[in-house]
Amino acid sequence: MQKTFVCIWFKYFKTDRLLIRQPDLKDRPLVLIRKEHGKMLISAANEQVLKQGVQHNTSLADARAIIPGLLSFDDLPEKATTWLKALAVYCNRFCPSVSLSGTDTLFLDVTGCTHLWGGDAPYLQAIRQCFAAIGYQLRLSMADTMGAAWALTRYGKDDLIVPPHRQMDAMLLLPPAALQLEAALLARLDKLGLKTICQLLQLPRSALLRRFGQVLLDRIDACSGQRMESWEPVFPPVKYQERLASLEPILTRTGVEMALQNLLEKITAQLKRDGMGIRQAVFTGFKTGHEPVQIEVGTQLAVQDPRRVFRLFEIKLEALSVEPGIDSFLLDIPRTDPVKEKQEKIWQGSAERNCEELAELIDRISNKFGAHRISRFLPDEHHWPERAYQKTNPLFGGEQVQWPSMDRPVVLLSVPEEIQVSVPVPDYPPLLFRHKGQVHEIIQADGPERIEQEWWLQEGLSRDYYIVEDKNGQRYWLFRSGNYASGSKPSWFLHGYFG
Amino acid sequence: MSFCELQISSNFSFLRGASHPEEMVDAAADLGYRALAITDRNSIAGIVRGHVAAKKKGIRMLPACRLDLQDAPSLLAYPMNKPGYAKLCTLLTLGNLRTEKGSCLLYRSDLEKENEDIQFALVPPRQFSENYDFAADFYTDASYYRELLGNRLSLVVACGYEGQDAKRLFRLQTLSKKLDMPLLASNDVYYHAPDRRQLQDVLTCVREKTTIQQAGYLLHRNAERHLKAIHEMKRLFLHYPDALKRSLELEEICQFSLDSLEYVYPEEIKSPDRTAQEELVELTWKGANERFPEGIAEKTRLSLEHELNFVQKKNYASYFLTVYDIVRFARSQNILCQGRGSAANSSICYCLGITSVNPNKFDLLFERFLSAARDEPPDIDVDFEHERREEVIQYIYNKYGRDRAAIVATVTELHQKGAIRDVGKAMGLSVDAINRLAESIWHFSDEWFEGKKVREQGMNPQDPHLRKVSATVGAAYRWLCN
Repeated sequence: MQKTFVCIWFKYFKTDRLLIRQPDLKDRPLVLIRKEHGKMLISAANEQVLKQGVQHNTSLADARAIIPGLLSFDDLPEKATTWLKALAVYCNRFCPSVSLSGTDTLFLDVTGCTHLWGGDAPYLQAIRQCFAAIGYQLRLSMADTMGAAWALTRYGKDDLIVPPHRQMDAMLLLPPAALQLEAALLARLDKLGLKTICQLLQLPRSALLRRFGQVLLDRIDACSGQRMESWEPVFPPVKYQERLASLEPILTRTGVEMALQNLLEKITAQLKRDGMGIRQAVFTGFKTGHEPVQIEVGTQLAVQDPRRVFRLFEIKLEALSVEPGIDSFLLDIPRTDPVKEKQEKIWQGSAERNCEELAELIDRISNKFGAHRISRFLPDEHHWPERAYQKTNPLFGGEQVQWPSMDRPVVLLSVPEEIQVSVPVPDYPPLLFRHKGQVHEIIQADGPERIEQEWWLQEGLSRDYYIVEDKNGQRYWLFRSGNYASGSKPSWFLHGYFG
Repeated sequence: MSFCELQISSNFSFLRGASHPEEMVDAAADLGYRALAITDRNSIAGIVRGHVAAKKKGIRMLPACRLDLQDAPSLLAYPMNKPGYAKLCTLLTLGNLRTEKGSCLLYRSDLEKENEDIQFALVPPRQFSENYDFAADFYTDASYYRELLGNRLSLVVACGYEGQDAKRLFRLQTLSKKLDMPLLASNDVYYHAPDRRQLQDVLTCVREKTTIQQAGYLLHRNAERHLKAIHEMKRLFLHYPDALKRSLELEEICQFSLDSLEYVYPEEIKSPDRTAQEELVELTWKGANERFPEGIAEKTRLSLEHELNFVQKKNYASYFLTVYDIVRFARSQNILCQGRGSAANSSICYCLGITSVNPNKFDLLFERFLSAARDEPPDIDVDFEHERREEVIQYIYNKYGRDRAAIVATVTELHQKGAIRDVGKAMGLSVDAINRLAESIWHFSDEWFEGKKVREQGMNPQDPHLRKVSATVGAAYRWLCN
């Protein structure tokens, strides 16, 4: 299939990035340096520096001699890829598939995208404006192959749009370096007086192969499109994804809602065809010159009904800031699950249906207050109360384990609260206890249940638990840490409430 | 003095109890108990060691056992007298012969046949329903036992600090009143001292083939199941003084002691008008005449008379006849056989053809074989040609019956590496780590426990979990080898 690529070269990537963060350094000569064998070498420089003839890999001392007021900062080479990836994310507004090249170049697979912006030229214009608004200087070109696009950004005219199938014509006058060859090979070509790609192409292929090896031919073929280059997108392709570009920036909530509904309907129609339902949905709004805004919802059961997902989004739309206007929307469905079509019972509502209603309730609550607010507890086989339960997914997960038939409170305090007691020794239940300044007189009590430390996990005092009831009929779970026999004075705690 | 512990599981309840019978007895004596009963599961293997230890400490040990039935709740069984003990042994043998080595299958129908002269105590199940009651089955079974065993049945109650002790006690008391069946207080002992809990937990894991991390509710929540001081038991059963008293009553009723047992030799085939001793005398002199055709020397005659007198006094004649018969059979089949060891000191054995060396010729002393001072039963070793040994074994089986003859002296021992493997597995170590640990030892030495050898295997002896493992292994090992 005929492809079209855009290559974006951030010519002053590292220094631009620094300037965006420290705008007061603007128009000052600055370099980034790295240490090599104890020498400070320049690894990146801004335009002012390069114009004065200072090259990369010059030592800092030499550069200082040429440019007196030179500012230097430490380079963080290991961060470059992360930063570039962030820009790739940013580019996602222009096309779904972006790939990194080196530490300062991005490729966009723009096949079938540009018409959304009204053609190739406005498309490139939009990209340039977008990055200019942030503060990046870049060189752009568009061609049928990645190799040609790369070559033209480095050595060709800026903003060049190569018409389909004409990429080799555009490259004829470029130097061999545009083919991304190794330095040693380039040196040999230079020695032989082969200064342009045109000269190379005039030689017979067999001669090229014999003299310069397969690599040269491979590179030429990659540029011409005879040979496919591998494509590693930054984001793995999302199967269910819909985007919507608006004619003019959307500023109202109604507009956003309409866009969202439109996208949801399109995507659920697609999902229904495949028998899938939404488990997670991410709604992104792109703005010119600003970071994209994003909201996300999750569901317990796979959902196909667009209105249900919309209701979940509705809760969060408030948080989506529209200023200064959103110009395109993207809806990703990163998680889907198969939906089983259910036959409904004629006579009575089935348990499955209840489960669905419960799932909807849980979705609404957890999307509003946070997923961590809802938990389901399952027994964990430990005698020590703090370890006797485990949290699981609200609806699924965990085997159907029976809670052991032990007297355990309905509410277990995560941290036991110390209480003062009046108690006969050695191991009888207390007569009264004081908790948060309030005295509870105990009418009835049961216990003790002695629980020793699980010695393979932890060492320490054992606990004697008592179930007690105060005058108001409220029941508490109290324990004594340690025992009176050992001579020390044990402390008492409140650990839970019974219903 | 108002209590004795009558429910103790020693290490002879395999991988359940975590103390030796001796440790139980010593601890009981130190706590001032006048008696105790070791009730291992379907086994009386531990009572001999307990009996010896108890004699040393001057307290009583009741021979007893816990009968785990396949189709009814467990019972503790205390023989009241020798016939009762015989019945208990009959029951256990029946159960053992039904199945493979190491387990014992008993049913209520067996109990219906063999239960006289034994006092029983019913062990209530551990499960307690949400309504704080036992399952209906238990009540049915209790009534059944009450009807079957009459007033020889008590009901065990224990205070295990399990949170529902008061409710359990109340339920059991109600049942006891309803069926007119006295309560018997106990602490359901599994170890003599609370610090054995870790070992007991590890044994549980080995038994259930799981790791300590995954054992969960298989483990016990506390360390209360040890021998407790009498005043502590009095406090725990403050509202049930009769249950404590019942333990002493049972102890008085069950007067049977292992001391009253002695070995009964099989009666040998002999001329109908003679006793075993007369037969032995006859055969000995006949043999002597054959051995010494030129006349019996005075010295030999004296020692033969001396030996025969001694054998008569001790009533060992049947035993000599038994061995004589086996040797005679072997000779008649041309199976090579040879008496050896201390029996060579006996002129009788020489004359009967069991040994082939004349002890008088070499001045061998009869007292090295049998002596009134040692008071041990005689022990005659005979070697048989090993390829035909089976024929002799079959002869013995045919003569005495399979249920009366057994091959002894096969003992399974857990060795160091086995112990370390089992404990390592229970502590959740990987197979690789266990192998390396096991390799690191030839012997459990203090050096090993200090971690030097462990470090050589590239493990960190300071690691708290490994420290715990090695401490537990050490405890288990010392315990196993005791």
